[in-house]
Amino acid sequence: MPETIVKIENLVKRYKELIALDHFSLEIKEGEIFGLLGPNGSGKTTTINCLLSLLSFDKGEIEIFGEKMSPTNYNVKKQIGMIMQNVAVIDELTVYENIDYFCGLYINDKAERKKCVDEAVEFVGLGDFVKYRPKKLSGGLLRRLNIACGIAHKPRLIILDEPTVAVDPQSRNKILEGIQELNRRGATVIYTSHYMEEVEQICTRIAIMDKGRTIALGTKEELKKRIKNTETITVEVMQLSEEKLSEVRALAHVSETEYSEGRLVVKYSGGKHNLIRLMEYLKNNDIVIGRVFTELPTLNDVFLEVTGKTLRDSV
Amino acid sequence: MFLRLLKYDILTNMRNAQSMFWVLAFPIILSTFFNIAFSGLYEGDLLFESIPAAVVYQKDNEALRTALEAVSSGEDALFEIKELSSERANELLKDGKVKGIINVGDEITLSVKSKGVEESIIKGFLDRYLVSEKIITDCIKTDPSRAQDVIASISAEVSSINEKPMSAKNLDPYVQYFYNAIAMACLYGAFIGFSAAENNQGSISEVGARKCISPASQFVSVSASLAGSFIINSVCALLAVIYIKYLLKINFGVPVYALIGISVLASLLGTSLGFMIGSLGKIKRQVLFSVMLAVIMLMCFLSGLMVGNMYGLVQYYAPWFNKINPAALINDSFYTINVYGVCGRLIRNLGTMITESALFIVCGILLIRRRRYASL
Repeated sequence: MPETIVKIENLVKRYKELIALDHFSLEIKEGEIFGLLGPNGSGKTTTINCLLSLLSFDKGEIEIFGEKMSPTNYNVKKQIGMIMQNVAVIDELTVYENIDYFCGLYINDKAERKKCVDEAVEFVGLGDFVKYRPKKLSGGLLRRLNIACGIAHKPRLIILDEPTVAVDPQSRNKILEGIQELNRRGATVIYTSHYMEEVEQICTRIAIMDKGRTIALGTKEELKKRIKNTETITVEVMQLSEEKLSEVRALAHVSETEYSEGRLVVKYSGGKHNLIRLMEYLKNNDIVIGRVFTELPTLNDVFLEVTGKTLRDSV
Repeated sequence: MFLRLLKYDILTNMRNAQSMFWVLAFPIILSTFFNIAFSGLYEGDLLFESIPAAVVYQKDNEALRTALEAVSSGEDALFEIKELSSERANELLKDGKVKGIINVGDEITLSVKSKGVEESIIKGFLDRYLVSEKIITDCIKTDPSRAQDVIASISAEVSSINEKPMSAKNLDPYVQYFYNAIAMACLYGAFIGFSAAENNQGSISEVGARKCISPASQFVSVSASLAGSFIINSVCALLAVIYIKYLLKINFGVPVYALIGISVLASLLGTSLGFMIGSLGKIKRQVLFSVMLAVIMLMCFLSGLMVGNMYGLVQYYAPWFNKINPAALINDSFYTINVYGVCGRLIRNLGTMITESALFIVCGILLIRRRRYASL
């Protein structure tokens, strides 16, 4: 049984009238890539800042590595690496100097630090840019530098707060691969994002937050099981009578149908081989079809199911 | 850890173009302009031109005539004296061709058309003459046997004033502008001190947040930032001093050790002022920056950077302000050591500078020592 390394109990944080965290609780086990998913303003960053003792909170308890977290718990702080939402580097120092500077806040020994900095440079692929100042780097490279500064000291727990905001798809993939690699090397990762695709791609367990509360928690499979709609098939159909539409609605496992502007949308609740069955029906009834799309449920659907609104609408 | 942080803080400040402009380039540019402006005045000999004055003798006064001849002769003549009739003297005074008329009758009086430096010099000369004459006359009346000693004593006093070695001093009023330029250079170190505070607050900057969540002691981190800022500010101030003294060849009238000492102390004052302002918290950066710039400019203005006699005006209307205004303290420290040497006034100035620096640093540390923020 993996050890619990982060334990948050009944955390309450108020900004005057606004309740940012409303009795928020969470447990994260060693070795996980734990995703905190939620729209902007749902309390993800506040949770992280409380976790790091940057923010005071009104109520609740936070334990990391079995110790109560406090601003002066240096033993715990030593084992945490943080990659912030905004790039936190010093513009006047070079790439190498920046990593060395921030790594130096954790590691005093010069030789050990040099080794760590070199490894971090290699890990994020900034070897050709070590003498560059941050302003000379592209957005993607800058994000990689930001990551290197947070992980050079080889932390046991890495917290990434929306590290891919405003990053091009290529750099985003590199960053996500890097996070998985860090996890393979033994680090536990907390990953916050409002991009559900990223969270789905890399996280082993996910908490969906809204209004400072956890509204769903589990693996992505567990979360998807919570929703009625398991599959959506969209078919381009030139013409479809009300009678035929009713027959489609009567097919096995169909929960909902909709036909408008030449598009037939069929939603299913469970069942296997739904696409084959639908295609057979359309063929047998001489219905001419165009393109066909199938969609599996996403975390957005989970969010929609639980809150009645989409993640995208909320962002 | 302290030394490594210090090294990087020094590097960071050195490479910060904005800070370097304010603490190094701007004072150099300003002092160069001062030099161009004031060297024109010197070359025109405006400062040392003899003052034209008229003397109207209604009654003969051999002693005064001799004294006036003495100060009107030679290359460095103080006056250009014309003996005239009362009517002619008044005409010339009206036309501005003489600055004053010395009327010699039963009493010696002075007529001037306006009040200015040259009129004040004529008045000062006459006052001194009258005082000396009265001392000698009274002495002759009361104890004629001591008259010779009194005359010798007055002569010796005059002689000692005239012959006092001036090699290390500069009584030129325009040197004040260069004192102020140095004061401004040191106080602009506030920009560096400001960054030191900013980079150690998790609620203000991302870099500050990174430091706050690290296991590094905040005291060590803040100390290194402050020390790095102070060192860079001092070095820049000294470079500005070297530029003014050795390249512009301005005689500060202040020994080198005192120049260095006062500049370093002034740099500490500037750095700590910026550190305290930077610690004020979540006020918008641009607002704080603008306030700091305005405060420094105002302090320099009131100490005479833009208008030479401003220090005197403040001294007249609000002398307490000159005793706490950092720019005035720096300026007056240079002036005091130039004119009076090491004295109580200088020590009081330096003491106030040290006290203010300590106060600013303590306030700054108290403001940023919170380790958890209510909001970010």
